[in-house]
Amino acid sequence: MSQEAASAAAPESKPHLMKVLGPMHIWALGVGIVLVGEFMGWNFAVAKGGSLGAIIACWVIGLLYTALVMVNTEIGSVIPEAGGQYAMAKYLLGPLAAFNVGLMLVFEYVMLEAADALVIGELLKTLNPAIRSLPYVILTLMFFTYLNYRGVFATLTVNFIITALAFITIFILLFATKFYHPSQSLLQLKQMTNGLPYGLIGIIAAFQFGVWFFLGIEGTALAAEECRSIGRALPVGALVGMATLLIGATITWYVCSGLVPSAHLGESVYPLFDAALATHMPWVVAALFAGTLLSCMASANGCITDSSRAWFSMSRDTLIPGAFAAVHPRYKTPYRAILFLLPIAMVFGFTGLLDQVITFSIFSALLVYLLCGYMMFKFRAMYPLGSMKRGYVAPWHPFTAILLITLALATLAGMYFGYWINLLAGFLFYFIASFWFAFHRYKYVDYKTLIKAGAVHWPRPKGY
Amino acid sequence: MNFWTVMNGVAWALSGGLFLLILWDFIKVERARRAESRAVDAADCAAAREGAACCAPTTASAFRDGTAEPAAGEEER
Repeated sequence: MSQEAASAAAPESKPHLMKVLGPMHIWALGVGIVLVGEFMGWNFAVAKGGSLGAIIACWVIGLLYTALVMVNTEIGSVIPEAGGQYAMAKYLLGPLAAFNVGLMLVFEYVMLEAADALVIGELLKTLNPAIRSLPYVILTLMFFTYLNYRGVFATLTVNFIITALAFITIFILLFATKFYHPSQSLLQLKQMTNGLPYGLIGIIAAFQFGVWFFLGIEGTALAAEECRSIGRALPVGALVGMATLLIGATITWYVCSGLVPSAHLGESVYPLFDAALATHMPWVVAALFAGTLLSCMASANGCITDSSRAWFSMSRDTLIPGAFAAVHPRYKTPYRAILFLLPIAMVFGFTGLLDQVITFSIFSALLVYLLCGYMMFKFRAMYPLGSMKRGYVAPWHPFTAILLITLALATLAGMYFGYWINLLAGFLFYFIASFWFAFHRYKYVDYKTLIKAGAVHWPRPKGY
Repeated sequence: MNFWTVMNGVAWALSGGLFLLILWDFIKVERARRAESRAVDAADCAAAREGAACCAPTTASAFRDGTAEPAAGEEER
């Protein structure tokens, strides 16, 4: 077969994933990844900005993520491929930016997966000193990798169940405090909170921990290719997921701030679990212990799904070696991508450096958000409203994209106060990766294959 | 040896079991893929027997195989 004929045949033989997901699965993917942030991490915002600073950071960062979900849903609803923000970048920004966005997504989720497994091990260790964390860290990663290997439908159905159970435990804690009965309520907001001790600068410093309430919700777009109806599943799943998280975050802050003194809350490893301990009700403590474990499992599971889809898409588009683009003949999963990323997550899990791992994950995510804001401007310029059918139209453009960029920059500035070395190291890493791509990999990129799906489905962009 | 020490061992054993399950399926799939790829290449060779020699994997079979890396002396598309 001649090379021309082979390359012409290649796009038709491009591997594709199975379309089996509905809005419920998209909700489970998005909320499942994020919910762990309500069980831990967010409370460091209390140490940086005080109790009031933490809730302000929560709502402001909630605005950032609402804008992000709107932007992602509008662009994602017309992209019929796996890869989420990566797939958007390849059509709107070109191969180099797409490579970087893909790499950022992979690291965001692989790091988060490693952190989740680490937390599961540490949490189980609190049950008995004889428990070793390592076998449980490995077991968690192996189990969810196996689940992902076997099929996305079962994976996200399991994620729906464990995410819903974890979310219910937050409500169990809320109702156990009898918040609705002022004379019997266990909540003592006035005595326990410390207002805004560091003023405006404290709020900005708290932004990076407010991100924990929502980090990963953008992962819903990564499963676009596997949705039965992208135009329905993606907007419904993502926006209902965002509303779920806003409600969950506010309840979490309210309950924790009313039960745990702010000085202790700002340093707690498991704030919701500590709040449960403060109720002195054994069944609430047991429920929140289970909730914390389940949220970590849901997050690890969703992270494996998302990171493998990003890696698979990059490989299929020839941005990285093509070996990872293979689809399992029976389960229709990107099995090589799933297995390749497992040891990487394990290596980061072995380091035990939870805060470093999480910081790199958040940093990578923030860079993606910045590029998403920019992509929204390009998308509306290239494909104005009316030029193509969208599953969802983000309201108030360009305000949404401006808000997204501004808040992402403010959060990066907040991160700089505490983790400037990590920020510089992160920039250096992506610079070196870009250098490798531009001077080594770029010559292998087949541009026609890269944008083939969009070229078939989309009209010619304005000005091209 | 208490209950939790035994559970540590159970966790290791389950991890090992899952690893073997994945490995077994992975090897099975890769072997099948390679065999299919060879069969396609052989068919291509038979079709081109009249013309130039053709024994290296083609770009098309590499795509089917999911290993579309440049073969020696072949420019990748």
